[in-house]
Amino acid sequence: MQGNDYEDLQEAVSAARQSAVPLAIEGGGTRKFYGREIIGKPLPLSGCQGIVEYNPSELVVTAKAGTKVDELSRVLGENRQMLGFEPPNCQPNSTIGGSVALGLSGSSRPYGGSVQDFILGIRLLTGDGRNMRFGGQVIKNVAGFDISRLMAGSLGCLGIILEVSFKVIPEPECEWTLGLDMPDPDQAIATFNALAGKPCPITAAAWHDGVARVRLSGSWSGVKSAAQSIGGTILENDPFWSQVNRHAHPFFQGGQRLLKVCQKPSAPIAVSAGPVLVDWGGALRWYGEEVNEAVLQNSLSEQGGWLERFRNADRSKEVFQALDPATMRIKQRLKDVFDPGRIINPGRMYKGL
Amino acid sequence: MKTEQLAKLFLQELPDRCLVSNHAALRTFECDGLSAFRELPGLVVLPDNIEHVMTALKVCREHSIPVVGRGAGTGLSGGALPHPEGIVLSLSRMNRLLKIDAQNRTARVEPGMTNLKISQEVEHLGLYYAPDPSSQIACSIGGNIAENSGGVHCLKYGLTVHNVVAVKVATIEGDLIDMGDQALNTPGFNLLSLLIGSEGMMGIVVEATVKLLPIPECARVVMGVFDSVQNAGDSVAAIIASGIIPAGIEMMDNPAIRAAEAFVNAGYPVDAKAILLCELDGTEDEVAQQIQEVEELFRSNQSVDIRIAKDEHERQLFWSGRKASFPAVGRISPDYYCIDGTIPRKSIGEVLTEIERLSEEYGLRIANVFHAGDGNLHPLILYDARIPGQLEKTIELGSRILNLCIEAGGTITGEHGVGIEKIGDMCAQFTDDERELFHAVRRCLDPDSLLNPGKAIPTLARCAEHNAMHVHHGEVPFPHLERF
Repeated sequence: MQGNDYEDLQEAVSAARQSAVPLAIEGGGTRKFYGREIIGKPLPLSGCQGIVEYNPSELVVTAKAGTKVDELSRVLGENRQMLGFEPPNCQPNSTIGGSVALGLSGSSRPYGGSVQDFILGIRLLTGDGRNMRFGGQVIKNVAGFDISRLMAGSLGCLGIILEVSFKVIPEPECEWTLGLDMPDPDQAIATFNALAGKPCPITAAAWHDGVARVRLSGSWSGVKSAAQSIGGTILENDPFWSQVNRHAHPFFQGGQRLLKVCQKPSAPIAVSAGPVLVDWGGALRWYGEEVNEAVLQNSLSEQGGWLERFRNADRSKEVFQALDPATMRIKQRLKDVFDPGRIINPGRMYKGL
Repeated sequence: MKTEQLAKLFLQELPDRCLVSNHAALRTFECDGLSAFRELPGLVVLPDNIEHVMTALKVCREHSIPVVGRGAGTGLSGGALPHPEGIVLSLSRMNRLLKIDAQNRTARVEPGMTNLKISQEVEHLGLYYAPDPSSQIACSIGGNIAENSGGVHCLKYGLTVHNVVAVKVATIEGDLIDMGDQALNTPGFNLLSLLIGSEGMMGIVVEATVKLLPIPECARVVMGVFDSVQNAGDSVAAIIASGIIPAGIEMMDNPAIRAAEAFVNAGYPVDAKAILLCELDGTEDEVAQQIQEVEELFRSNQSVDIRIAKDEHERQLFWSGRKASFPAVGRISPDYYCIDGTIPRKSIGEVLTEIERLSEEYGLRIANVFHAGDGNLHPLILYDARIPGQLEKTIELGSRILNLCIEAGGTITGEHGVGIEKIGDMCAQFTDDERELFHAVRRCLDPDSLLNPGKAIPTLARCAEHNAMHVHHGEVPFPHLERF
């Protein structure tokens, strides 16, 4: 990997520092709706594309941040491999750097892992213009602090991700989705939790509108025997997972507001808060336009969990739940270390970060 | 501060039973699993609970006393080596199980609980905690978090960082902070991942919530016997490329095979150049199918023999040699020194050949036992500490091997941590900017650098000295690698 491909970006950062005009990192520009309002001059990463290194037998790929997720997935697919975190909310132009910065993980999150679980290394350009590498291209590596995984979900507030190395996984030999009629979402969650406690190749579990879906992936024999013991109907050519992944499912199309609620999987669903789509085997609950926020807040204060205003919120205010003061203080200091001039994506995550 | 002063100071705040100041008793804490480095601590504090931890940290903060956190003391990089003017904060008494949450498949435990005990506590639910460092019978979960420990089953089930969902951390500034959550997603920068593997330099973990996995229905092991290390290495790459992720895949070379066989009679072929132990888990059918595929891949890479453990007894027997390989090597040599580098799998054959050459150059025997599936090498250098100069020679050889790992695109530590042992090697792997950033990040959680000072990340001055030494020997490390 060559570090000198990034001189243009380095110059842009140094100019921004001198003029104190902040920069807004832009990958494919497809997920500008996320986080707080965007401040600063756009800094496109479109020139920063391509797979740097890929050796299928290592299960590791390194790509420049501006590489399109679709392109990366295509190359991996040629070798029957894939990104284990099923990057969500992608459109054709969405980039892999954007996916890491947003820190969003797909439906396989509770079973296969999150975006940070698959990051092995990173090249980063900090707000004071330092081009550095952390982690590496091997699965086991404990040299130095884990700066790479810190970047997942940082919303670009800690610097410009230039390259990322991921652990990739083999595509499953077989994948089936089972549908189970279940009017009560709490019953669905109880079922998901019970299944996850058994040796069963479950890779996604969701509930919406009276139907619980369980996705099984792995070898033919493993999937078949699990399907037999779970029951339900095999849903062939079911577009559900891909629709949920891209938020193209009708549930996400209805209104303006979209709230993301993360709770421990067993927490009862606040059904009276409005229509809900449950993913991550119960740990992720989406609420749309018709949500009764007071009821939802009540459930959160009783059961614990985190609320995020995912789309169409008032972005001049906070969109992520407030952090306790001690945690916020540490995060402010991290911002100061990585971006002392506060010129990279300032305030995109929290005011002042 | 001297022991008497420290004892007086802490006695004002903590019960007598929590303090160790007796010279002989302090000896117990003078080293961890890396016994080549020893130092007597000023005082040892053994807290019973979170309040004790916070009190101890408060005293240390107010008087600028260095704090070295310690779990079970099984670490292999000297991470828990005491500071002569500071305290060792030993979490061994905080070893209780706090809560099993069967529905959410997690266990909340105190940091001193041993790794294996967690799995034992939840076995009746058909669950277990996946990371299994070879010291799992003794090592603590707090120590595992500090080191981001691995084990035999990492390739399929991940490291500690993949299996801990939340921690409660006491900071040197007096806060109690939750990082991570059972909700699987928390807002803001990802402090949990940053803390895991930070070698006790960012806070003291006082509680951990770990992920529990269902025990696989079936696990079987296949042994592949090879007459060249290269063929064994190629087999590993072929298995991974085929889309199979084994639960574990371990390699042993001839010296390691001989030592292990002489120790436990595992039935290993003592004339083989290398053996691979490949464990597959899943449903009965799935495992049967994968065993067939692995057999074919072994054969197409010129294996000279293939043995499949016919039952659970034989499976345990096959593993017994691998698991006992460190003590087995300990029997054939007065001392051994364990190296822990990781390389890309494709370089296994090449790097092992070069290690063999170095072994001859230095006149020191090396046995190789390692996690082949993730390229994590554990060359064991055999030496005799009674022979003057041999330890120094061994350490230099170790550094040469780690340099090989960096050159191959790998790292100086896969799972044992940097600690005090590999602090010089950090100068070769990271640039001045990168190391400076590590220090700055650490100060975000420990502004006065009181937690485990002098470990894991070398200072600029130390690296200047280290690199000057390398130039003095006539070699700048990796002139072809870029430097910023």
